[in-house]
Amino acid sequence: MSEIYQLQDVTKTYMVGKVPVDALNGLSLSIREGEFAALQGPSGSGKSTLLNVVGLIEKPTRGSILFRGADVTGAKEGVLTDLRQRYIGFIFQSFNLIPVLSALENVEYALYLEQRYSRGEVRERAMRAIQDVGLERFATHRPAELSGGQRQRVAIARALVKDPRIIIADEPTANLDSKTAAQILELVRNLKEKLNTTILVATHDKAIADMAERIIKIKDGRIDEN
Amino acid sequence: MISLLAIASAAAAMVVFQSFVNGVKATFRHNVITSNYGHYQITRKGYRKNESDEPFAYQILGAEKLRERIESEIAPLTFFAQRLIFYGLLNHNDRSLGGVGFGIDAAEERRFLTLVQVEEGKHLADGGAQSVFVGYKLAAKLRARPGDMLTVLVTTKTGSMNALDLEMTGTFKTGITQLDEGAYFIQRPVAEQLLRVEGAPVLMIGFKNDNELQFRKQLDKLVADYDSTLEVAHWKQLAEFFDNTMGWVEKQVLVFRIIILVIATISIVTVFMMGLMERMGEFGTMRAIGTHRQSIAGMIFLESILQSTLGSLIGIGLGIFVVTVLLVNGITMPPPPLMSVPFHVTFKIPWENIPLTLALCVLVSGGAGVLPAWRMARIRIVEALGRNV
Repeated sequence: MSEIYQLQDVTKTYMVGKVPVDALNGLSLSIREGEFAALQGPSGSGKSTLLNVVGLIEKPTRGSILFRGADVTGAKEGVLTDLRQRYIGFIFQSFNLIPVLSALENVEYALYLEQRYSRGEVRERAMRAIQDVGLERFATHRPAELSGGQRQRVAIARALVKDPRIIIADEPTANLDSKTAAQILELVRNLKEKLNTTILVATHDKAIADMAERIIKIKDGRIDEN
Repeated sequence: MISLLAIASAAAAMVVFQSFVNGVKATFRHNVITSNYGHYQITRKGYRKNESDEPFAYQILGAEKLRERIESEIAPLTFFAQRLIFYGLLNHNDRSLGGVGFGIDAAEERRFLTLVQVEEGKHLADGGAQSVFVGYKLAAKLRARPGDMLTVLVTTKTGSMNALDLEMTGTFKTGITQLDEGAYFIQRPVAEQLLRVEGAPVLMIGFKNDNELQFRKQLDKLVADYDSTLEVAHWKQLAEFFDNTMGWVEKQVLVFRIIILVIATISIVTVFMMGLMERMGEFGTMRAIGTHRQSIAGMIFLESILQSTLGSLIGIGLGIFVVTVLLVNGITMPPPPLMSVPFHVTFKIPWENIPLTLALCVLVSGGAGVLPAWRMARIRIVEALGRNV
C-alpha cells in the first residue's frame, strides 16, 4: 500500500493572546492508502489540529506535508481548495449541513463543486449516495427536519458521493446517542468495505477504535503511540 | 429580513424626499409665476435698463394685435395683460409714503396672478374705476383701511405733477415682502389718464399648465417679426431670486442625499455583516468541502444584489404609497427667502427619476455587500467551523 500522507516534523503554533502555544509539536506521521486509522488522545492533545492539517484546511507553522507524494506544504489556498474538493471527504462532529438545502441538495452540492458531472449525473449519484445511507425517504427534508443520526448520515453521504481518497472524521458519533452511534458505525464499516477509502477518525469512542486497523495516540502535540 | 427592511427604508426615504423636493420646486415656481410675472413679459428693448430714467419712453401701443398673432400662430393664451409701472407718493391723511404703482388690467390679472390674495376688503377688479388696491404692509404704514380715500401723486410724462384721489378698495398679500411693503395697483386706464400716457411698457402673457418653455423659440421669432424693437423675457430672467433660491435648495438636497446614502450604506453593511456572521459556520463548511473563496464572495455578492433589488423595489413602492396616500394633502412649509408667508407643498413623485433611484439604491446597497463578501471569503475555515454548534 502506498502512502497517502507523509507528515514530517510538523509544528502548528497558535497565538493565545501574546503567548505562542504549540498544538502540534514536531509531529511526524504516515498514513497509507485504504487504511482505517483512529486518532486518540486526551482533550487538547492536538487531535483536531492534526485533522485540520491533514484535511488541508490549516497550514503547519513548520514541517512538511506530502499528499499523494506531492509537497503541499506551501501550496496556495486555491490549490488546497481544489485538493479538498476532489480528494477529501469530511464528517464533522456537528454534522455541518447547509441549513437551507435539502438532504439531497446537500449531497449534490459536493458534486457541483467539482463540475465534472452533468446536472442529471449529479442528481443520480447524489440519490444513490442518499440510498446508500438509507435516507431515500428523507431526501427532500431540510436538516432541521432530520434527527441527529439522520443528519450524520447525510454528512456521510456528502463525504462519500465524490469517491474521496480519504475521509476525515472528527468525533462523528460524539453528538449521537449510543444506539444511533452504533448504526452510524455499522454504516461506516460497510461503506469502508465497499469503497476501500482511507479513513482517519478522531474519536473517544472505544467502538470506533475497536473497528480501526490502526490506533494513533497523540499527546501534547506529538505521537505518543502508533 | 432586516437587511431587506434597511434597504427598503432607504429607498422609500429617497422617493419621499425627492417627491418633496419636486413639490417644493413646482410650488415655488408656480408661486413666482402667479405672483407678479406671468410666463413671459414683452417690453421694448432698453426698457429694463432705462425704466427709472425714462419710464414712459417705451410704451407699446396696439398690444391686442400682438395677442391675436400669438394665439393664432403659437398657442392660446390663458393670460394677457398690460402693465403700466410708475413711482409715486401715496398719501393718507398726514402720512405720505413712496411706492411702486402698477396700472393693471385688474380682472385679467386676478384670474392668473392667483398669489395676489385679498387680505382685507375687495380686489381691485371688484371696485370702481377710481380705486386703489394696496399692499397690506404699506396700507398698515399709511394707517389706511378699505373705504379710505388715498391720494396718488405722480410725475407725468411731460414732467408736471398730477394727483388723483382714489378709494382704497382693499389690501393684498402676496407673501413677497417687496410687493407687500411697497406696491399698489390701480386700473390701467386710470393710470394712463393720471400719467398722461397711452399704452403700457409691459405685456404679460401666460400659457396653459406652466408648459411655457416649449414656446420660447416661436415666441422670440414672432415678436421680432412683429416689431424688431420688442424683446421677450422669460419669468426666470426677471425673478433672479428664483434660481438663487433653487440653487440653495439643491445644495441642501445634495447634502441630505449624501447623508441618506452614507447612513443607508453603513446600516446595510452592518446588517449584512450581522446576517453573514450568523451564517459563518455555513460558509466555513462550504470552504472546507472545497468551495473557493471567490465562489463564496460571488455568492454573497449575488445575494446582496438580489436582496438590494427586491428591497429597493419594495422601498420605492412604499415611498410611492406614502406620497400618494399618507402625504396626499401635502405639508405647509415656513416661508422661503424673500417671502413672508408659509407655502403649501404638494408632494410630486419624480416618475422620470424612479429608474435612476432604483439603480442608485441597487448600486449602493449592492455595493454595500462587497466588503462583507470579501471578509466572509477570507474567514479562517477552522474558526468558522467552530460556529457550527
